[in-house]
Amino acid sequence: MMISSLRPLVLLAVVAGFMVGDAHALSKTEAKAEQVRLSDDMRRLAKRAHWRGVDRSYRSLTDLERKGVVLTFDEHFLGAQAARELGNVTLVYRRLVMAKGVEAKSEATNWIADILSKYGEVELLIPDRYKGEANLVVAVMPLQPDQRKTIGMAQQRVTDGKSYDGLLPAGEYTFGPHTFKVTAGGDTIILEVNKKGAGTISKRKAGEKEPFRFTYMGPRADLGLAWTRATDSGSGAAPGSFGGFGARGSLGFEAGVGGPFAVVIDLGYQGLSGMPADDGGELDRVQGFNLENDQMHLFYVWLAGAIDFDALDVAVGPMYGLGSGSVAGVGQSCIDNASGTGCGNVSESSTQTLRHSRLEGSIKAFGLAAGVTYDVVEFGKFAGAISLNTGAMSDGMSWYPFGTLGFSVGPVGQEDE
Amino acid sequence: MTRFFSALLGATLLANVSLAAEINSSAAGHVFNPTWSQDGQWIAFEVNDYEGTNDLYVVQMMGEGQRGAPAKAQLPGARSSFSGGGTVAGAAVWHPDGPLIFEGSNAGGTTRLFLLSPGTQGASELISASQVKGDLSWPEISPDGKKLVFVSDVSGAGDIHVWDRSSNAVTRMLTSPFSEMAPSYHADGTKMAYSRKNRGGEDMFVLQGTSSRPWVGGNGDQTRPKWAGETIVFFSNERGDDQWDIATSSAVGSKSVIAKNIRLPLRSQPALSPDGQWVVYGVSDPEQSHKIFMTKLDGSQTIRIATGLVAAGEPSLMSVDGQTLLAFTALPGAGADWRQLHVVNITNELP
Repeated sequence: MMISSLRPLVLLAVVAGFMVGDAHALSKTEAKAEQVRLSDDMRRLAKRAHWRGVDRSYRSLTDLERKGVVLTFDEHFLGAQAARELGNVTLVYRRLVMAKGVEAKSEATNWIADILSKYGEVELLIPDRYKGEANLVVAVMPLQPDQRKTIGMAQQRVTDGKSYDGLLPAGEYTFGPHTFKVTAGGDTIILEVNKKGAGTISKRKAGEKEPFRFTYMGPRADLGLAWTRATDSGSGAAPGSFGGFGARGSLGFEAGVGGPFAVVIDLGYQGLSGMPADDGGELDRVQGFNLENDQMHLFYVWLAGAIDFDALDVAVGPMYGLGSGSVAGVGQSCIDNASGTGCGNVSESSTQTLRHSRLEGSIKAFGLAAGVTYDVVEFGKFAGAISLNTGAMSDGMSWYPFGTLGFSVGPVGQEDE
Repeated sequence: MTRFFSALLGATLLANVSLAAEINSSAAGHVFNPTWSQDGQWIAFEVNDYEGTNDLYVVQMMGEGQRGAPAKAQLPGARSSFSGGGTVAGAAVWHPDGPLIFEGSNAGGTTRLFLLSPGTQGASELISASQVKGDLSWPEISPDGKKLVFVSDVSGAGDIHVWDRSSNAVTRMLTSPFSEMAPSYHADGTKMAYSRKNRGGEDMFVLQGTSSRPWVGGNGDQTRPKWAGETIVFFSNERGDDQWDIATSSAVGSKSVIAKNIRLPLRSQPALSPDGQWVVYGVSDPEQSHKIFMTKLDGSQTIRIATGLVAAGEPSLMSVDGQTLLAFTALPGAGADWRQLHVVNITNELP
């Protein structure tokens, strides 16, 4: 009974494990081998001046860093060359800084110095649903095509309502009512505006630690079907095991904390409705007892840490549930032996009564939950995903393992560089 | 003597300058078209090897002496496997902000406009083919540096286009069945002189706003105009194909020849003194070819500057720190292989 009732949970765990396993498929050794292959690819494509391909291989290489692979100077440097050919000076700079971090070779340091003789770092922080003026205007448009292109990219981003974190050619700029001056190789200029357009301009010196800032944030929602099981409480007047399917829905919020990592908070509801049953099988209608489905209504809050593997997100964290239940039958041990230990208050009842009595009460449970989402569609800053969740909570008497299958909508996550 | 200077109306002075400094360059070829940067710190010049390659070099100057070796402008893709030499780069104009803009093409490729910062070698394409297709030529920068006019042959006949620096937009300024060329901005930026191929000859026009009107016509070509105040200075071969004169025009239909039988520069407009009062040129007479001539635009005075070299021409003047520097090209001597670039201080030779 117990094994068969847990089958849906096992199935969900297997599916989730398969999805997660896909992301974790590469062992460290395999990741190292993949690095060699991608590195060869980069060199081969560079010889053919196929810079888009070089850039793609470099991005795949940086994905391997999550698996402990350390990129070489040459890989970062070739990535910088690809970024130059593709006209993205900010990426050139970022990749050169990575290369220099591996080894301070003159070709990287000289190139960085050359870039910083013309450009300065800027962070234009624009909140979602920004309602202010979104025009980035440069006082004097530079002549150099790469500098004009860099300004054009920044202008496009802010016009689209997105923040810009990158280089801008030295010069005076205006964003809405704010004017700031970018100095070549100077302090990072930070313009943080609020939704109405007011804002502050500050500077950060080179090497100064960046203050913590969420890399992205947005609401999330999940709707689907849940299977929940409650284990036998083992005490006399408390319910026996029960389980069933029900609706599940949640609303929450997700915020990136850097790299592939994010935090998630969800507030939701998970229901259960199932045929009353015990070791003797499903209960039949008996005169004198109003046989109804076992039911549970649980409202929960889930706080989780999440990691993003491209289309796949995995989240794990504690869950607290608060709700009510209405169940037929006491614990199986008291049905089997009403005079047994712990069955004192029900020892006088008949087996039929013990099996069919309706027990109602509240539930306060705490546990751990894990979720996996697999993105299947993107619309703007949001992605729609198939979601699988599993976990278990306990109220001290019973365990409540569960599994869910649903469709969730949440923020896409941090943009690629 | 009479044949060459009969048109010179005023007094003629002869000056002998000390030997001009030769700008050392490892490039093999004839040097043409030296052009001073607006701050007088750099000279751009072309080297033509007469085997299909015309390179653009930039050398840093300190007075009349060079600082370091000239650096060759590298076009994007010039070193690719598809480019076996044969690049053409030239017709440089200096932007007031410092960089220079020039025409360039890889072997057999389309001629486009490129930007180069002096002191560097890698040039960038200034205007992409998505903005305007075709061969682009005759770049000319507005006095405030905000616009660049050039000729594109995208329509089949050369049409003058303008690139706006702020918006990065390219607009066609003139459309005609004839080829326009050599646009030249007036100092106030409100009007532009240019020449137009017209029934075999080349006539001069002035564009103001959207209105263009004929300015000077005649036999042969009236070409490569350059504004000096309200006067247009230009080359004319009205007397015959190989007989080039320098003429001025201050009103529609007016034309005064102020110098005859000049040595026509390969590409450039008439070279003016920084104060816009004089035009500088070499002459075609072999006996006088060791001299560079300066004639006042009103024709009242001519200065001859003996260089001690042969076939002097392609002059360009610059005033730096109160010194007037003359750059020109010449053969070191009769029978020499290549024309070289020379720079000489002529401050003391001027009236």
